Order: sequence, then C-alpha cells, then structure tokens
Amino acid sequence: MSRPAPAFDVRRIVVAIDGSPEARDVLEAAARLAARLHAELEGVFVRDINLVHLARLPVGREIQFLTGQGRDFTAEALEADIRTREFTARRALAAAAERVHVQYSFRTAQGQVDVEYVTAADAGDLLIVGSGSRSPWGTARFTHTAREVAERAPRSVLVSRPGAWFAAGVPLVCHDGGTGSWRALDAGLYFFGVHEGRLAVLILANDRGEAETLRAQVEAHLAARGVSPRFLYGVRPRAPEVCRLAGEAGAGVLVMAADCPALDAPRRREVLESIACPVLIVR
Amino acid sequence: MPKPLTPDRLYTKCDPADLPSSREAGAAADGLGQERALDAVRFGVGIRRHGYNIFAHGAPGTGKYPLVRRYIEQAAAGMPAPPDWCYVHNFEETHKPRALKLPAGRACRLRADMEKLIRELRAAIPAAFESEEYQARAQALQAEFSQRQEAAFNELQEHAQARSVGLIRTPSGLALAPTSKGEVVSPEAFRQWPEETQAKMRADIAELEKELQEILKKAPQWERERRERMRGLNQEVVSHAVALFIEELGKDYDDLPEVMDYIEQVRGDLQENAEEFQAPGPPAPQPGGLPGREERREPSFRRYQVNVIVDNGRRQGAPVVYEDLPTHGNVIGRIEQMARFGALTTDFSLIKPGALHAANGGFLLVDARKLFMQPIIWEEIKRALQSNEIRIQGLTEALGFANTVTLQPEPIPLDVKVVLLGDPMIYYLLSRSDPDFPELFKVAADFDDQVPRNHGNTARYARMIADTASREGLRPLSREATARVIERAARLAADSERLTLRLRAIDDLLYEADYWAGREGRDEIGAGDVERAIDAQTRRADRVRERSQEQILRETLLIDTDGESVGQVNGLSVLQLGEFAFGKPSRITARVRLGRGEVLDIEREVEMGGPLHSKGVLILSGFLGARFARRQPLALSASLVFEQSYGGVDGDSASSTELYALLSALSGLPIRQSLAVTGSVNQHGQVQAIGGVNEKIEGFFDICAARGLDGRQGVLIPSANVKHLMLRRDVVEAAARGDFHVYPVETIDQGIELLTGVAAGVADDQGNFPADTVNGRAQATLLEFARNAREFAGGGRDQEPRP
Repeated sequence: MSRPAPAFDVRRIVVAIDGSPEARDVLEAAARLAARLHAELEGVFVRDINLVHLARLPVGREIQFLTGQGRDFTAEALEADIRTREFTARRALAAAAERVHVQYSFRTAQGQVDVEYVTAADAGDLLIVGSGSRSPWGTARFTHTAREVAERAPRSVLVSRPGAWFAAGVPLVCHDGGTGSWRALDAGLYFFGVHEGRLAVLILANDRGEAETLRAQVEAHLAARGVSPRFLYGVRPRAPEVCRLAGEAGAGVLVMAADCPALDAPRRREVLESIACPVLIVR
Repeated sequence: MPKPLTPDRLYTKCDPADLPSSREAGAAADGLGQERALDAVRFGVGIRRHGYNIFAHGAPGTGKYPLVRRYIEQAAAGMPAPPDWCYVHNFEETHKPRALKLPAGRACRLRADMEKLIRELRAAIPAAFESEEYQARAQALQAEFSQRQEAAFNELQEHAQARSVGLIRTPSGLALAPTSKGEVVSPEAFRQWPEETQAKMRADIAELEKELQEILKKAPQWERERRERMRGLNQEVVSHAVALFIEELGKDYDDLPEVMDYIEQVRGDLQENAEEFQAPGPPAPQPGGLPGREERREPSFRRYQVNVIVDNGRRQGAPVVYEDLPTHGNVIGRIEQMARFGALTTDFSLIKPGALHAANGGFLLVDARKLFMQPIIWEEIKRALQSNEIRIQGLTEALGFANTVTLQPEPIPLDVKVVLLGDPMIYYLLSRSDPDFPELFKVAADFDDQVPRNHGNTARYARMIADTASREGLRPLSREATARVIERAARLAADSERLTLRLRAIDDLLYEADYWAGREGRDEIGAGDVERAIDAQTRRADRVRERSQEQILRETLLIDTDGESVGQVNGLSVLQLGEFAFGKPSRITARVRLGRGEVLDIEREVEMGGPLHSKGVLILSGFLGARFARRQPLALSASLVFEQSYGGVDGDSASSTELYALLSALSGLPIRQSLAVTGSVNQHGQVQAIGGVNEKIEGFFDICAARGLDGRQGVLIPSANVKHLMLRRDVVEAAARGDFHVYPVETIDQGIELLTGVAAGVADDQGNFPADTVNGRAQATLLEFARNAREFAGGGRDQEPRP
C-alpha cells in the first residue's frame, strides 16, 4: 500500500543521461517512477567541457581500453561521438517516456559534467543519475561524477551502480532517529510505497536500548500510515554491514537521508560503491 | 479300357476312431514334420561360433515363427542374463559418449545414485558457497584485487597530479591532459604557456601515457589471476563438499574399475565446474523468448546423467527379442535430437537403444521380408555381426551423407544370435547374390510344408490340433471334427497321402469352426462346424469361380458336356486367386491340313502361351513323328488353340488334351464332350501327373452338375494323380451313385479309347495300325498328306510312300 506523504510533491524528475548503453536502464527506471508519481521527466545531456578542451589541446592523448594503445584525441572525432550520444540519449528518453505515457523534455548543457548535473537538479524535485561506467576491468563502479552529484545535489538523488536498476525487493529505509531519517522514512513510502505489503527499516543505533526506542517510534509513525515494517538493526554499522543487511532483507532500494549522522559522507560513499541496489539520498 | 475310380480312391478318409479327441489330447505335438528344421535351430542355438546365425525358411504359414520362438525361449531360459549397458558423458571427448558395462540390474542403480548425487550436490554446493567463511574469503579476494587496481590508478593519478596532468574518462578510454584546478586547461590558455613548459607537459604526458599503458596491460593479467584464485577457492570449497558424496557413491562400485574411473572423472568435472552449482539468480527477462539465465544453466547438469541403454535387472535368462518393425533406428539404435530455441541439439542422454542392444547376449528374431523392405538396415546388421559390435550412427551418417558434427557413441561389444525368418526365395536369393550371407548365416533351418500321412503322424496331427485349440482358447474338437480337419489338411497338401504343414490355414479353420460351434451354442466343435467353416471359406472366396461357371452355363463360354465333336476336347485348367484355387474347363480344338510337319501353337504365336505350354506342344510333334512318320515325312500342319482364352496359358497339363484333339482331327473320330481331360504327355505317349487335380475335376463336375448329371460325364486324369485325390464330398457322392466318373489313364491310347469309344490300335511289326482304329485312321490321313505333299513337290504316284 502506498500513501504519499504531504512533505513530498514531485512534479519534475531530472534524469542525467549520457547516451551510453547503461543509460537505458536509468531512463527506464526514471520513466517508471515518473509514471508512478505522475511527474514530468526532463533529460539532461552534458557536453563535457573537459573533453572539448582536451580535443583541442595539442597534447591531448587518449589510451583506449580495448587496445591499450594511445592515440591523438581529435576534435572531429569527439564532436561526432558527442552528437551520436546526444542523439541516442534524446531518442532513448522519448522511447522510455512514451512507453509509460509521461511528459518529457530534453536539453543539452555544456560544462563540467558534475556541475551541470547539480545545476540541473535544482530545476526538478528529484535527480536520477546513473553511475555511468565500468572500470577498465569491466567491473561496475561509481564514477567520480556520480559520487560528486550524490553529495552535492540540492535535491534528493537516486543513484545506482550499472546493472542494479531493476532489483526487485522491499524498500529498506535507514533510520537513526534524526530529522533527516524521519524524512527518509516518508520519502521511502512516497517514492516506492511498499513491496508486496512490506517495508523494511534499518535502525541505526549506538546501542540496543536506543534501537528499541527508535523501533517503537518508527512503528508508531508507520502504523499511522497503515504500514507494519520489518526491522533490522545495525549498531554503528560500517558500510559492508549495511550492504550485508540490505542483501539479507532483499532490499530493492536503499533509502537514506543526506544528513544521517550514522551514515556520514565517507560511509555513504562506501555504501554506494558496494551495494547491489539503487540508493535514494533524501534531501 | 480303364475303369472309373471307386469312391474310396477319390477321397481318403480319416477314421475318427483312430484319433484322440481334443479333450483327451496329451503330450504336445510341437514341430510335427519339422524335425530337420528344428535340429538345425538346435544346432544353431548351441554352437557359439562367429557366423553361425540362423535363417529359418519355409513356405508362408508353416509356423516358423512360433516354433522357432518357443524353442529359442526354452533355450534362452537356461542361459545367464547378460550385463547392463549405459552411456555416460565422456569428459575427455564430449562427442564420444562412453559405454559402461555393469552386471545385470546395476545400471539403473547407478543412474539413481548419480541422480541422487547431483540432487544432493545442488543443495550442498550452494550452501557451501553461501557460507560465511566462503563469502568472507571471496570478498577478501575481491577486495585484494580491487585494491591492487585502485592502488595502481591512485599511484598514476598522484604522478599525474604532481605534474598537473588530469586523468579524464573518454567515451572509449582514458585521456591525459594538462589541468588546472581540476579542469582541463583550455587550448587558448595552453598556447599562452612558455615553449619550455609546453614541452615539459608533452614529455610528462608521454611518460604518464606509458605508465597508464603498463597498468592497462596488467589489467587482464590481474583479472585472470583474480579469476584463477577465485576458481581455486571455488574448487577448494566444492572439493570438500563433493568428497563425502563421491566416496559414499564409490563404495557401491569399487568392484567395477570402469565405473570407478567414471566416478573419478565426475569428481574432477564437479570441481572444475563448481560455479555451475552456485544458486542461480532470478531469470533475466529476454527479448524474443530467448532463454533466460536459469534456462541456460539447467542443461549443464545433464552430463552427469546415466543413460541406461540395456537393463537386464529383472531378466531371467538370455533375452529373446522379436523386432516387428526393423527400421535402422529400431535395430541399431538412434541418436535423437532435441529442438532448443530453433536449433537441434543432442547429447549422450538422447542415445536410444535398438533391438540389437536389447537382444545382446541372447537372440534377435527378425522377419526377413520386413527387413528388406527397410533401407540400409541389412548392411548395418551385417556390419554389426562382422565386427561384433554395435555402432550407433544416424541414417544419414550410415549412408555417408552427413557432414554435421554429431555424436560418436563408443561401440558396444555384440554377442547375439540373429535369427531371420523368411521365404525360401529370399534365402536362395541371398545365398546367390550376397557373398556375406553364407559367411554370417551358416545355419539354414528348412521348414517343410508337408508331412507324410501315416498313422503316427495323423495321431500327432490330431494332438497338434488339440494343442492349438487349447492354447488359443477354442472349444475342444470331437474326434469326427479332428478327422475332418485332418482330411482338410490332406486336401490343402493336394495329396491324400500327405498333410499340410501350412498351419496358419489349419489354425484359421479351427478359429472359424469354433465360431460356428459358438453360434450354435455347442461346447465342442463338431465335424459339421468344420465342414461349415470350409464351406464358408470357399463361399467367401469363390465369387470369381461363380462368375466363370455362370459364363459357361449361359453359354458365353462354349463348353459342351454332352454330344461328340471331331478335333474338340474339354481341357481343364486351374486359376489361383490368392489362397483360393478353382478349376475351369476350357475348349481345346485342333485342325489339321497338309503341311511341313508343324504343330502350330496359336497361344504361343500370339504370345499368350508360356514356355511350359510350348514345350508340351512341341512334344506332340515328337510323339506324332515317332508314331506315324517313321518312313515318310510328317506332311502335317496342325493348329491347336485354347478357345475363348483371354489370358495367358502355361503349364503342360493340357498337352494330353491337345494330343487327343489332334488324334481326333487326324482320325476324323469325334470326341465325347461329356468327358474332360487333364494330364501331360511325353513323346512315348505316357500320360504324366499334373498339379491341381482336385480343383480341375471339381471345376468340370460343377458345370456338369449344374446342367444335370447323366452318368456319362467324367474326367480323365493321369494315373499318377490318383494318390492326390481328396475330392469334395458331392463329387465323391456323385461318383458313388455312378453319376460322375474319374478315369485314371496311363497312356494316350487308353485315353483316346475312352474319349472316342474306338480302339486305339496297336501297330504291327511294320508300324502299321489296323485301319479301323484311331491310330490307323490317323495314320491313313497322314499318309495321304505325305502323298499329296510329294505330288505338290513334283513327284509322281509311281512310288507309294510306306507307313
């Protein structure tokens, strides 16, 4: 059962798209969420100013993952590549939005990618960012851009590692009793509702007594919304512990407040690097 | 002049008093008259040498199959049950499935054990992978390599940052560029840099590029190392989980080295492919109905299956297999294919056994005619028997047409006795045409189709009838019924002194007699039921005979049964329609004139006469020349014809008839049309035996009876055929009343006297016949022809030709 909390009223979802194959999954997830929340979808494609500069520099060199060989990075090749990706991104956005009958718009910006995404986030109520890349070894990893945007965006941000966008499961909300955590609880319900009647809450406490208190409070809070959650406990947990608990709970998405003292920025970054499901950072 | 045969010569009865009734029947009479064939079968079964396979041949319906099968089953019961065979995956050469031999009954157990092993491992191995210990070690390993990678990059980044160079992700790789405050320096700014600074930057970037390339070169190596160590960890975990189960399994098979070797291979493969046992994730949706992840994983476990080809676990004795449909696949076995998403695939589990596998260690019975109706299988059976192994391959491979990759199952050693059953024609054809046949089928079991009708055999025949009734669940037969069946057996043998061994006809008669007895509510088959069954069989088959007789009675076909005619005789022929035969009278006429000693066979001239018929006609020339033209030319031209014959004529049984017609034409003496004639003749005028005598007599009798028997009608048959007479009851009864006669004749002279009522005449020392005899009159005519011929040739009458 899903009962939107009055604190949230998402009208526009901004989705960062770069025309990569991974971006298709991001768009699908964004379009579904927009349809569910009756929101508009805005796609943002950024012409990376660093690459533009690089292409025009006489000393710019590119080393290809595929061959390990270096080559000159030319402006013509870059321009052609950017155009292709922009076209692909535009078309993918249209396809995803039309499939779920959601209004959409597309715009292109030029600049530092993370800066542009952060700026674009301000135009919407939620920013969705794909981490967008795989390492030279083929493993999925969070990029610098995704990390930066997740930390600096003025609005709530939904991020995920490549390939983890469609993890089916129960929403798991991290709760440490802070103001942000209560907001995260409502955000979890608002954005994702309950999965097969279930919502899980990970109580982050310093000790057992505090955990019990928090549990009682959360129970009461959610009971008022007709939700009876499953509780998990983490006593000053480190990132691997959070990831393990999320796995045990069968989490489909992890919801945490941006200002959650129990999961400060370094821990949050660690969680983002390791967790196998999308993460919603609530602001 | 020959006397007509008495009724007892026309039908040799079987005295019921000499017979046991089927209620009293005792010992089985299996194999009556087939001692030679069964001795051969016994020998063939007993001798265990290469090539001593058996070909049981005999006329259809002689009971070859049930007799051979019963005998072989008895022999097989005393033999040991052969081993089981199964096919398993060959872990070294996957396209060559491995054959495993196990003692009878243990192949199925191995299959069950392997299924259990895999079932247990599918639970145990994922559990091991999910254990905290494994997870911790795996994560540690993963972290170690991630750290190594990160460290290398971090080091590179540090080097780069120290030189104000940034590492930037591009669409297809990484780029190195001068940066300032985290951003790539614009080209305009870069151009403002002093030359030396630009040059240094170029050098720095070149150096860093090399460093980056080194890292990227190492990347695959690190990844390979990571995979190998992960694999090692997996194998370690699996090895521990597998060992217990494998050791448990091995305990049951430590007496079978080949099976133990297979189990060891399974152990190795399990360790090698441990990842496949990890719990699969949820199936990923795929476009176009392609297999999801789970579906793709599932078949990999098939390689641990055991495909039991032969299971002799419940068998007592050696197998006896009759293959009813001897196709290539049914006999040799086949490799089936499975459609998976539009492609055909196969593996060892789809190998299906054939009859040779089932019969291995025992006997395979095949109907030769059915075998030769199937393509290529004969060659395959020969190959299997020659090489003593069963090599399964598809039909296309056997024909040499296949060029796709397929399985080559390991051949299975073959020790089988093949018993072919078929007609003599097939046997002799193979003997003559196939050089391999005598090498591979050295034992011929020749099934007779008749047995002498003596006291002992008649009693055994009676017992055999009783056995059949008992075995087939029929009502018992009374003595009279048994006697009637035996008499019928003699008639079917076309010999009053023999009994047929075409037992299918006898069996059918018993079934039908039982049916009629049942209809009448009797609990015993009586003679009347047998008689009714015979009549019903005849009735069902004699539509054509009826039409033929109808044509004669309506005088569409001209056959006289009274009066006299010159040069015209009633001949008799037999028409065979399937199993049913009947006699048909034919008018044979002869005309004579001056000529060059030729007897013109009109049937041959129009190519309606067969070679035997032509031979008979040529014999007539020999007879006439020897009898009447020893001193002057045979200036005769005679023509002989089967009047109103619209089909072919063959056989020499009408040659005596034709000679009577010729003698009548030459002598001018008319022939009695109330008589019909059959029999062949030689150049000395002796009348010889023919076939179908009963049908021929009955055929003429039916016409006479329909027109009214007057006591003058009858048939002349060769004396040698008297022993073959088993005539219908109504014919015998008419003969007894004196209404119809059967005359046995030995010579042409006897026959012509009967037909003309005039003495044949005996030649004197000079070769002259008395003038008032048949021969004398014929001689005079021929003398006149010779004289006329000489006149035409320009000679005078001053020198009289002498007879």
